[in-house]
Amino acid sequence: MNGTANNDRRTAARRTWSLLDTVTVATVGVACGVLFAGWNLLWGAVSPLFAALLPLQYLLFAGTWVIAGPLAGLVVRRPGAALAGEVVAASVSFLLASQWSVDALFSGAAQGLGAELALLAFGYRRFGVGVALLAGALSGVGMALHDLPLYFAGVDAAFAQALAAAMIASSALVGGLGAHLIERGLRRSGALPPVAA
Amino acid sequence: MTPEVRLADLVWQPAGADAPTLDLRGVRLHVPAGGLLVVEGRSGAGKTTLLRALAGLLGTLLPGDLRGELTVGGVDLVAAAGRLPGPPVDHLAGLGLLPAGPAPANALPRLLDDAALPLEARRFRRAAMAPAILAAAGRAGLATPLLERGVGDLSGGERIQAAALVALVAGPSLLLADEPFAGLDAGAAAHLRATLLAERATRIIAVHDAGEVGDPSAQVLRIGAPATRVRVAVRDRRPRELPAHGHGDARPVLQAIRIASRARPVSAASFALFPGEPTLLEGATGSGKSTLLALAAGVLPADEGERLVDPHQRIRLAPQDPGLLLGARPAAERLARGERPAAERLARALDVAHLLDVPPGRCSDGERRRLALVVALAASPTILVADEPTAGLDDERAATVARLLDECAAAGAALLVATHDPRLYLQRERRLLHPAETAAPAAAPGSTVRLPAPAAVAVDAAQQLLSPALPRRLLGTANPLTRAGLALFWFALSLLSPTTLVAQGAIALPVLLVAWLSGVELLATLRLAAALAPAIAGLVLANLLGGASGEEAVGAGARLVAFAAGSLVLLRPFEPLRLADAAIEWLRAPFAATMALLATAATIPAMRAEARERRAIRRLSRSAADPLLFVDTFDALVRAVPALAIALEIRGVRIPTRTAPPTRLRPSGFGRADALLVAASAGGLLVSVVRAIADAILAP
Repeated sequence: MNGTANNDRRTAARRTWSLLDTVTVATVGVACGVLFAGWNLLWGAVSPLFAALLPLQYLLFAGTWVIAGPLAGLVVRRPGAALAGEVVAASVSFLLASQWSVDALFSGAAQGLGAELALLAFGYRRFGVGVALLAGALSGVGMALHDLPLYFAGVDAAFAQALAAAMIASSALVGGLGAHLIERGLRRSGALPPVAA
Repeated sequence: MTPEVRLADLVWQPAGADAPTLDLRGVRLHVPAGGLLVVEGRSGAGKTTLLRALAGLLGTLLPGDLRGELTVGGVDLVAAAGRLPGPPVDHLAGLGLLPAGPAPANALPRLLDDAALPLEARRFRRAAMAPAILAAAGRAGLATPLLERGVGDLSGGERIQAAALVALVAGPSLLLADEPFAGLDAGAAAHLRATLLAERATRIIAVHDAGEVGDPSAQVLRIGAPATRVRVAVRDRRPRELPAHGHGDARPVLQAIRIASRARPVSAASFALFPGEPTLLEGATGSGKSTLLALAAGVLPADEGERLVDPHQRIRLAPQDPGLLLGARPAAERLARGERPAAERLARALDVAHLLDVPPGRCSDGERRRLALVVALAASPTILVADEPTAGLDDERAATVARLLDECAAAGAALLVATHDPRLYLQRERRLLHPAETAAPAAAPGSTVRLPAPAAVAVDAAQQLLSPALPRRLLGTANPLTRAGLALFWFALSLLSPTTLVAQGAIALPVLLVAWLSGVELLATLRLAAALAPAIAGLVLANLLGGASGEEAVGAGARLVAFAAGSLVLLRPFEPLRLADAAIEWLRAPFAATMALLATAATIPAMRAEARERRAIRRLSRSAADPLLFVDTFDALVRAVPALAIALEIRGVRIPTRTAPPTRLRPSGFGRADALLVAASAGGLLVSVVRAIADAILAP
């Protein structure tokens, strides 16, 4: 009945972050950061096994590292949330001692920026499964743009392309689709308020 | 200035809800400046919602639609709703809110820092902070030594006193209290009552029975359905039965001999539980009843003493925080096969039958408490451990809980129930006062007190060897900003240097030296090395297989060492609070965002402890792996977000601005230690440069 008034209010409130938004992004970031710290150990442990098949390792494991961006973006739905979520997660994993050290922050920024661009492309209006997949995939692009020159400067073009493809596919599936499923679960359980259609 | 409160036809509908959760159409009231309003209603009636409206949180911090009329001291809170991202700053300045327990309501882990936050936000002078905190602790009835403790380590009652301290510390002109007496022992409750009645602020106190406030002249607002007054069993003051007598030859199903846990500092306890007998555990606020229950149920491992329990016992625990048992999925999913009919009968008795298939996140606190009891009782346990099962319930429902507990005991179960509730009275009950009556060991095999494991001793020794005491003392005081800056510096240097073993190694070595001097934590380092070694091996191998030259591949590996070395400098020791203080003081980091980040990061240890406790409680009923545990932990974290955001908001973190920065309890400075660290790094840089020049000269 008062749809217009409500919509006006919502757009007005959208410009500024409330403490609720800040704490939500921080919580998603911190929880994912703890997950990343554990994942770093797992990654280290499986590295020797996959040395000959590195693209496969990336395909199976790399996507987890980008999940904070799409998840924070889908949960909070404010400009900047995806980038902030991934950077916070990267910082936490770094502060819990990560083998990537300060570089975790730069990886996080590159990946979070990818997710942020995906949400921006849809004007922060659509947050469905397609957008989630795109946010994940673009995070993977961020990962490729950051990792390849830094850690694989000397490898063949074909190998680099295989790595990039694995990063993007894994990020879309684990990071994007995974974030979508988690967000849906949180809304269903009542931990997050349902979104007005 | 003390505000007056005007309220009329107030209606609140949270975003996404189908119906209002607070509907006060037809209610119009006025609380004069300095007056007292008592809000009475049963659990779930909307008392907490009304207090949140008065705090200015509805429609601002918490999304939804607020209508009607609500002004506090001339500030229109309905107009603010939907317009502002949080309560109006003018309103926050004089606000004190005491949220309902027993979940911790703190923003920062240590009580002292948490209590200082409202003062810092309101720009109290540093010299005035300690006296204000001590005075407020006295008025809340909290012992001063507890200020140094973490709020999460306090007992349920002490947490309420801690919340009262924070609400009172900045001298509020509007004081809101949500069930402040539930979960406090009689003495502590009387003290807090006297304090609240003596306050000069305008006060609004929500309780389930207006009699609790003890001021017959106070204005009373009753909300929700009127509670039926059933006076069950007024507690009779008979002398206590002597424990361990009159059991005939019945054998105890559970016997504890001087059990204690290092994780929570409370006195060791001894007791025995007998089939069919309810044991009511009483004791002052903070005496460690909840810890004792966790030890008895076996969800907290006993580091000392012995816990003898008959095998084949079905033990169930209804914890103080019902969320630990319920998790994110509906209560029905926590039931084992065949328990559904019993659960439905229990749920009907407790008025929660319609909530069995609803996610607990959508239920009120009181409803979740009853659902947890349903789940625990439905298993027909042979040992039932329940923590404050009637807290926050009205008389009628408290009576029902007492009846169900009686039935459970009549069926032969041994009950251990911790309670402060003078209404709770069970048939054939035995009252046990902790720690007075649990201190003596029950007659049983000699107790054992375990010494620290040899492994722990070895770790300590190696720790001493690895980080020498003197440089550690000297350098451990370095400002976290210095460490952060140096880590970035070494990272940039590594990035700019060529990817060769020599160049990257030259960076890694001096950084490792600095890290060692600044006090490396052995375990963290080993953990890092365990992740690093295979990662380096994998990276080198992958580069080689990908077609890189041997030199490039080894250089890529060495760069990883250089990166990680920088991480060591920054992190040991890692002090988030000091880092935040330094960032606010020297980098002008925005107060609200920094505190939000800090408060969230500070929940990591609590989050891990809670995940362990959650797993232990769930293992009582399910021995198999529980894939939902991780999901439930994350769900609980997200569900805790509004409480943390509210805690930050009512402490006033949004009050400071760029031109009016907050004052600080802990000054952040730079000293000798920082100079030494920078000098050591400069020396390392010199080595790197010399190395590079030597390379350039020798290369041709």
